[in-house]
Amino acid sequence: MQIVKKKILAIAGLFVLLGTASCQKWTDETPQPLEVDESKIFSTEKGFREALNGVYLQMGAPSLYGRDLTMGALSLAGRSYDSVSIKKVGYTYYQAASLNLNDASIKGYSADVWNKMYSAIANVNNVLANIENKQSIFSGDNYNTIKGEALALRAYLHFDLLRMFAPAPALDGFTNAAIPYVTVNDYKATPVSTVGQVFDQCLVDLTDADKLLNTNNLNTTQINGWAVKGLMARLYLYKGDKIKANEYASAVINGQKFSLSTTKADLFFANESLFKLNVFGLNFYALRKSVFGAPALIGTSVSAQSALYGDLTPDYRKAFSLTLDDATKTGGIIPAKLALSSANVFPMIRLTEMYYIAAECTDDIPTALGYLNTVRKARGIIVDLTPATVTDAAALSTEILNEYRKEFVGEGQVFFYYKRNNTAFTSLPFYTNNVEKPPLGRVAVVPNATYTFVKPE
Amino acid sequence: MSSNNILLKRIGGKGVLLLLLLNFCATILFAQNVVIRGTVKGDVGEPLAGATVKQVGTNNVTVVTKNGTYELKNVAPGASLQVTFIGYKNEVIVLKSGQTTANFVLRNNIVSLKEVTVNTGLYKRPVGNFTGSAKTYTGEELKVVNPKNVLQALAVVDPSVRITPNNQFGSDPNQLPNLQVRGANNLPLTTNTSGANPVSNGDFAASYLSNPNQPLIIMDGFETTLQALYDMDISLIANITVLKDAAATVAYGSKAANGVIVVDTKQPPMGKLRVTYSINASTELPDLSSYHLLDAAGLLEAQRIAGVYSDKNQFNDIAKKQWYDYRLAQVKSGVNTYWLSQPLQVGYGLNHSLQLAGGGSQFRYSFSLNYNNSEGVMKESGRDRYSLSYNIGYVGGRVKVNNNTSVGYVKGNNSPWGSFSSYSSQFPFFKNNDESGNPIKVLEPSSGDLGFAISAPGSLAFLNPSYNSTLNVSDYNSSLSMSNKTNIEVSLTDDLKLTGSLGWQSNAPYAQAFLPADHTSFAGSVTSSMMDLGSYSQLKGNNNALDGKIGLNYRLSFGRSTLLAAVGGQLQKTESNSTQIKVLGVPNDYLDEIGLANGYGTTSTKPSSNINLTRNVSNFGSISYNFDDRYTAEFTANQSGSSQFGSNSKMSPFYAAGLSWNITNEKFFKPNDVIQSAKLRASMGTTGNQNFSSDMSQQVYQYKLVNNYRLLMGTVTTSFANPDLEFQKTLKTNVALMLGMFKSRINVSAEYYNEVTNNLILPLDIAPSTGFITYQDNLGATKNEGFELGISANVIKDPQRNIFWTVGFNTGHYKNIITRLSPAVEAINNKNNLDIDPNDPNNKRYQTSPLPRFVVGESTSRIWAVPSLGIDPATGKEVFVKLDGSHTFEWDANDKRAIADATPKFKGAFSSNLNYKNFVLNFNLMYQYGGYMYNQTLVDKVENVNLALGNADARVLTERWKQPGDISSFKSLVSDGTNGLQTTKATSRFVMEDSFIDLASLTVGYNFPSTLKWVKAAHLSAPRLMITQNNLAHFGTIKTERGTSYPFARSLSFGLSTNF
Repeated sequence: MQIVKKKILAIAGLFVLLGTASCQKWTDETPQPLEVDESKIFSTEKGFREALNGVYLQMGAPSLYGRDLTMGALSLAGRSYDSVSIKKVGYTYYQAASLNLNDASIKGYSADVWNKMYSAIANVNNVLANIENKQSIFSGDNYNTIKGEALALRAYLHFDLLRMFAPAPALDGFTNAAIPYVTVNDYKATPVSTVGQVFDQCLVDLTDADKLLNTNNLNTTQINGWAVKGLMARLYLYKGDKIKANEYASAVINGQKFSLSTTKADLFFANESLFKLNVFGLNFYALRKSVFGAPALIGTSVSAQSALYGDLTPDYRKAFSLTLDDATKTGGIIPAKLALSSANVFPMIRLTEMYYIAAECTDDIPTALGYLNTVRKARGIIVDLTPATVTDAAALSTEILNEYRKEFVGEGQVFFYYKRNNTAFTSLPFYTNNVEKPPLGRVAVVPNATYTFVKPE
Repeated sequence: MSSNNILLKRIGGKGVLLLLLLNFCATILFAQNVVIRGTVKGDVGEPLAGATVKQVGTNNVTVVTKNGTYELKNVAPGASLQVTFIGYKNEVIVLKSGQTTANFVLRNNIVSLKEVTVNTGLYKRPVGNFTGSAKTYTGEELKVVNPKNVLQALAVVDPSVRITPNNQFGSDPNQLPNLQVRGANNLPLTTNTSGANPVSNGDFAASYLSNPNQPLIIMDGFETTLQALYDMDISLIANITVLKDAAATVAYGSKAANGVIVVDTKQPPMGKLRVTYSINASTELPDLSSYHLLDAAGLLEAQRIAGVYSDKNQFNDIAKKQWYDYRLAQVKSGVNTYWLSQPLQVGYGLNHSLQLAGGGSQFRYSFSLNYNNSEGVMKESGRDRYSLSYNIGYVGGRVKVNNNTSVGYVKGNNSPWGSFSSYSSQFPFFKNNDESGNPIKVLEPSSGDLGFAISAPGSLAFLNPSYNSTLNVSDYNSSLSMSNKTNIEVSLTDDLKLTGSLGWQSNAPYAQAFLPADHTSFAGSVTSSMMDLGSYSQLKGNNNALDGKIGLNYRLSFGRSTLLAAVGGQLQKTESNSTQIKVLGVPNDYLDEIGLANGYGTTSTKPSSNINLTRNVSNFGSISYNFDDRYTAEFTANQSGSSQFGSNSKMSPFYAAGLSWNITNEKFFKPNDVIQSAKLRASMGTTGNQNFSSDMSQQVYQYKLVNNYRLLMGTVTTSFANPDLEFQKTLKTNVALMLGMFKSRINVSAEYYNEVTNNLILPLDIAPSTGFITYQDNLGATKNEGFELGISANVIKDPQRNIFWTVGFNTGHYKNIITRLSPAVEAINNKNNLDIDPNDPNNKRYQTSPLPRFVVGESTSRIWAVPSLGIDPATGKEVFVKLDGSHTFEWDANDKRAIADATPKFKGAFSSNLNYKNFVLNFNLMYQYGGYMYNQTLVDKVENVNLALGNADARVLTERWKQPGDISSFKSLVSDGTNGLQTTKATSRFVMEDSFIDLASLTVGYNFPSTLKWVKAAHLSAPRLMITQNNLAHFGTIKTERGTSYPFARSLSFGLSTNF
């Protein structure tokens, strides 16, 4: 009897062992139909790269940088185009151009941006969550590159969310509720940070990224060390910290890794991009066509072009095309840089912006004009701006704004310029308050216009 | 027989004599040790030779003679005498002073022999030590009810087994029934609600995904698929046990929540070679009694009234009238085709089953062969099954080994004639065949041929589905399956047994559908390019399952106590993969090979594939303690793990406990004339359900192959895995009372059950700033409650004359309530209230059937529709009641209310089995009371019918509202000319009570006596003839077209079986 009892105990013990140790392992791995478990993705360096590529592809979505945060909705809201009517551009785009950001259709659009941006952030966070303790699988400097890139992307995406969905510090200070800064994937929502907190959180990530990213890596289709510095300059300026902004902008300019283009062969001036986004070729053409193509045909009218660039200017940037398919057919209203059928890289941060930031952040007008003239020369303008014509800070500011408008037409950054400076709506280009029947060449601004998009949550 | 009678008389004579003698003795031998004499008989008067009579507390014992008498000497006055006999209850008589005769009548043990032990598939336990709810049926019992379909038979005999009625696929032999034990615990959110599962589905995981309420099926200790049970040779089944409550099923842990069906196949017996052969010939007759379609003249008239031949445009009106005249001429010339009979046939089936078995005391073997060909009622449809299996067993010393290998092949042919509904909608004024008897492809000349200005109303061309039968169409699915199972049992001591088993099962499903370019399905697409006409699709797959089990069984008896214990562990791995390709462009019907097709087609249908791997582990321990055959306590625990569940909760524990009290053996229980035995049992425990897709708990990435980032692949994750996702757990409570009454002539069992699922997996909307929209969590809750009552009565039990008649009645009631939902379910409800189908904006029929709605406090099977007051006699329009009680002619989805429940209040069966000498007569009536149904076919064939396109129910002409004052139950027959007929959306008017009585089976059998000369000459033993008629009659409260895509059938089978 005793022996039997012992046997039972021994065998029962065996089962318990079986039940705890090996069983857990037995039930672990499972490949899924047409899907890959994250453990497989994050077992190789290539997998990490592909996961980051996934984020870049997400950023190329039509409602994000593939169209609407660049040449689409944000350029309309940034008043890049005056050839705009409800009939031509459709209801949603027209509301964007009118800065009617509380309209239901824009709310629907901004909810889409919100969801897609945070979906990309979740993908970034999943990369960061999986990269810890995996240095061993990376070759060379790639661990730092991937991790730095992921941190930088997280800051980039959050900063643009902040710029869209929170009031500008220039208007409302730093204590307003802004957006959640999400760093971990959880089904519980991250609490909303204030504007000031988001700046701090972005800077934490960017500072870390800056340490990790090697400045000799000049692969600009991925976010890199120079793009991080450029983004910090952009961020400090938006925050209102001109000293820091100047510091980082000068660091990029003086870094001498990038130089201004001197030809007009490429109107995107791709070699000036600190960071540019690839948008899948065939898609990108379709996206551009959906904004500019027939029968919409929106853009900057010839008279508006003359008003901004001057009539007889050698400025390379005054290039507007008749059709999307051929940039050489000039005389139209579509920014020619978007009419190059081969162009499927979109600039996200450019060297010229660093010159403009440096110009804006110096108190010395001749120094500032020096920065602007460098850019103007590179764009083919022979006549320099002189302190004789640009006499005060206000005149300088106008020149900088005009540079932004010329340089970044159809790139979405001009909207953020207006928002950063809290530009009066009445001072916007093509302004009219005649919402019912705007005169020709005017784009109405609605009475309850705002620069802040509505958060969906 | 005559010799028996003489024997009885003789006993009777002696008895009288003895009695006189004993009386005499008693008067003179007072207060001394006496001789007690008497008889010992069974409860039907049979003498119980061999029973022992004992004076309690002494060694004074005697044995009953073969006449049933005994004589026990030297008995002290006032002593107690006890009689014991195997299979009967012990009986004690306390002698009164002066008593010298004591006659005993022993009662049969209430439990008949087949129920002595319960086999849960993991362990066996005597019924006395078992507290769970389980019911066992022998293969023979089931075969008598339905010799062709064991699942149907099970649904007839057991009130807790339900088959969801499938009105679409009727008696299609290639559709698996949707089986449930004690109802559903899940919401039909995304799952297949049509009640049909494709049969070529040998994949374990997939078959559960298509029906998450499907019970677990265990065959000889190994998990198997519903299809394997559906296709198995019924004569190999020894018995089937349905395990219902937690105490019975918890050993299966995470797979047990839907109940377990345990199938035991026949094991080779000891003895010389025994050959068993049975043949079953069957016929299937289409049941069209529910169809009442218009004839040619009637349809034309209905079309005319409906305005099919009128038009506001005068020019078109003239042309349409020309069409009317043309068709009228057809009708007058006598064309009145009965389309329904075109694709139908009487299906014949033949099932041969041969078994050879035998062996010595150590080595036993059996071999069986089965060929089963059954034709369906649609022409050329049917299912062929072939199987071969052998079983070898070895018993030596303390070791028992058994190995079973089986190979099976099943091929299900789908009818090339197409769907039955394409015939029921066909116009009877079209001729089917041309003069030489060949089907006409286009049924009506074109407007050009006839010289009419416009084409026929409704359609460009009416096509004849029967034309396809002349083409080399092939549409079938098949499956080749193999399995090898080994069981080892080692008796370590007399009371301790070690068992182990290892099984491998594999099956390879295959399906193909070849439709040449000439097929009518391509006739509409003549404008598209020639290159894509004709299609060939093919599916190939492979499913494997590997199971390993080890277990220990221990038994201990001490004093009046018995202790039984079982522990076991199981590892399972299932793997399934399939590839599906579809190619287009097969111009001729003899190019019936995939490589001869043009390509993937201009719409580029790319090949699809599917791989699924699951790994499960399950350990259990069960202990049962019985005291004095009165009290039993049972406790079972299980620890289950599956790769399907979240990484933080892969292993999960399950427990159940049960108690039973055998009141019969209590001292205070005095057997009386009414109740002879009583047993009460109760159990409670949790069981799990893992019939879910595993990607809910895994963070998975998807590659975007059409997109790349600088020529490098990118991968994205879009769904948020819930690593905490748990098995759905159901808390089950079961209380049962069993009574044996009126000298065991009537046995009653009553059970109450309650099943609460508190962590139903449902989607939850989450803040989009998390990066995800929804995720799955254990959020919902449902409650099922019901009772089952079974009464069986031995009306006649006369072994002497070999007459037995038992009748049985059972009924089951079941109610389902949703007790908690996630907010995301509201989005599903809202979607089901939209006017436009979110998935298909062109679907004009979106709201014409009641769409599901999930509301806390209601059942999942509620029918939601807008309440209707009927047809306004003045206008012919339907009057609806809005939520606020006001009346309106406008239908609004937001006015939908819970009208009725599709689940019947009672479902059950009445059965009768009469054995009269060598004859057997068995019938089963199935009934359902109080369930409701949306009479979809009636709406579709009377009110929503587009008469320009299809035939309608005869009631279109007779019962629809025609003029003011008509009191009618159907809306007016009007057409607005351009938009077709008005559509009737989900309304309470068509929610009808679905109560019925079904004569599910009627069997007549004859056992040939072995004394017959030809039986002896042919060396046969126990030859038997059975004639079974299934689905003979249906009496219901609802008249609906049953079997729309495939008709229902009545079947008649003749079975002959014999041993050699």
